[in-house]
Amino acid sequence: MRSPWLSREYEKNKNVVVEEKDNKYILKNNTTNKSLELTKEEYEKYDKELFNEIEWERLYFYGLASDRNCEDLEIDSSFDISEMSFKKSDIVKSFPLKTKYGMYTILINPELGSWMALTDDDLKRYNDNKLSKSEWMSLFIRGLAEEESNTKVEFEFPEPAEYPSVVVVNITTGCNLRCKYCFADCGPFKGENMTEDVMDATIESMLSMPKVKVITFEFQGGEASTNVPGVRKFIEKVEAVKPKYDKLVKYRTEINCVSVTDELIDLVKEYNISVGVSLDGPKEMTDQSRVDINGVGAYDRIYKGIEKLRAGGIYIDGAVCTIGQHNVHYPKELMKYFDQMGISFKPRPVNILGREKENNITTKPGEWAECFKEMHKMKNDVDIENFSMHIFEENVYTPIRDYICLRYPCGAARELVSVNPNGDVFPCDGFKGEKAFVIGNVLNEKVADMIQKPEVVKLRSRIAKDIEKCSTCLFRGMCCSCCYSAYGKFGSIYREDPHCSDKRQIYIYLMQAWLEENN
Amino acid sequence: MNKTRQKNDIVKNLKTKLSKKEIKISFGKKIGLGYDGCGTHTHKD
Repeated sequence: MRSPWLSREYEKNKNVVVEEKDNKYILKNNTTNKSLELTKEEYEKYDKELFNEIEWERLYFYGLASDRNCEDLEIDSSFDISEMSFKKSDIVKSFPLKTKYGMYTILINPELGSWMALTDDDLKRYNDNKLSKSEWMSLFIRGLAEEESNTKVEFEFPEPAEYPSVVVVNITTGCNLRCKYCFADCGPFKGENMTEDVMDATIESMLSMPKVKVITFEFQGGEASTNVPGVRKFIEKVEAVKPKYDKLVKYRTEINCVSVTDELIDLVKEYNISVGVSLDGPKEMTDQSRVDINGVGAYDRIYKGIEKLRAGGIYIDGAVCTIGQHNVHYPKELMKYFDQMGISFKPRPVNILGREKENNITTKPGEWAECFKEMHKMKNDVDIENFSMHIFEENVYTPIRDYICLRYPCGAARELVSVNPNGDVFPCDGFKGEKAFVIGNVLNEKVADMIQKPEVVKLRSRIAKDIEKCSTCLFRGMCCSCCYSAYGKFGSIYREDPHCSDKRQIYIYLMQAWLEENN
Repeated sequence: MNKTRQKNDIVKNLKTKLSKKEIKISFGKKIGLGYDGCGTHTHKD
């Protein structure tokens, strides 16, 4: 039995002594008096620290091994595995998984996203109810089995937020590019800048947000760097009033780097603004998608902008690399490019909204998954971070769901809202070009009140069971349909993600990859 | 560069309480927040 999900890094417990008797080895914790008998073969693996995570877990439940990252294990005197009886759970589903080292059967709890890989021998013993108590316990704590006397497993992990802590401040609708897949209703013929009354209302609304300690103002547009005076004005207003509120304030911006000025660099330095850039890879790829009003690729101007930022002492926090027909077939080149540039990046397929609906450059079924796999195989060959690796690995290998677009309910109008220059508020930044999704205007009401409206509560509560295809999917506990991409593709947020099949392939691949890497 | 490497294979700081009636597993570490859209990762510290 193998699983990274809920597994830890174990080590020997310093309070454990070993007694040998008739080729049996008894591990005993001198502090708790708990003990466990090991065979000679088991003891040799223990002694050489060759146990896998599930074998260590068996000792851990007896207080005979430690989690090297956390000493906080509390075992009540009433707890005794030998007195517990386990049974299969109806929630649990299974599917076969082929790896280069053999076949496994994956037991998965679709609600939690927890899983365990069973060999054929494990599966036979599971089906014949012949697993050991500690093996059942390993399934039980992962929600993959039940306990007869109704002992419950409680997972206390952070829940989706009640109130937004990130506001995307669309400081202008003007943009100096006309990217082929842009979801925003912005471009060179636009140019509405945020007015001061909207700034004041947005700031007040966010800084007075209940139950939130950190507020991030993220400047976008349009292109935020085309309205640097507006960004400066906004920040100066925040700085002037923030002492009245008990909030930590952070600033961030996502820019295209086409127009990097000294004025921008000074502002970024003065207020420690985190800077992200949009970049689709080498010139031959970026020039196909990130173009100006004349259709001319912007790579050379972007590159100069990046150089200027760096010369000005600005650290680039990361790049969003939008994946479509212009770069999906070049995963290795993308990894090498961003490594050479020294910029961590987040590759993600083009979502289906805005200009993408005319241009159709998003990935075809299977292409994004193949691209992901090739990049994943190279993850140890580069010095930069590929954020998409992190995001997907986190969801497949751990119970943590801190990436708000890959979790039900998603972060729309929970962690995040987006405000347009005229004060209109959207539940997710992806909707900022869609008037049907305006949830209110900051000039008329506070964001905290807008998110209590019945239609917004419904959107905030969107979970897998509300979406036919997701409701029966084995991977629903580690996934989410992108609300605005589903809307763009199908006209409804209550549909599966347009890249659904790719996501499923990625989850399965990551299970295979872990089993092979940890064989 | 103040680069941060993120490691996912093991969840660290899992606190565990085992008793006859309840098994409680909690995660004490402050976690981050990320979103798709145009941003990369926000609050990731």
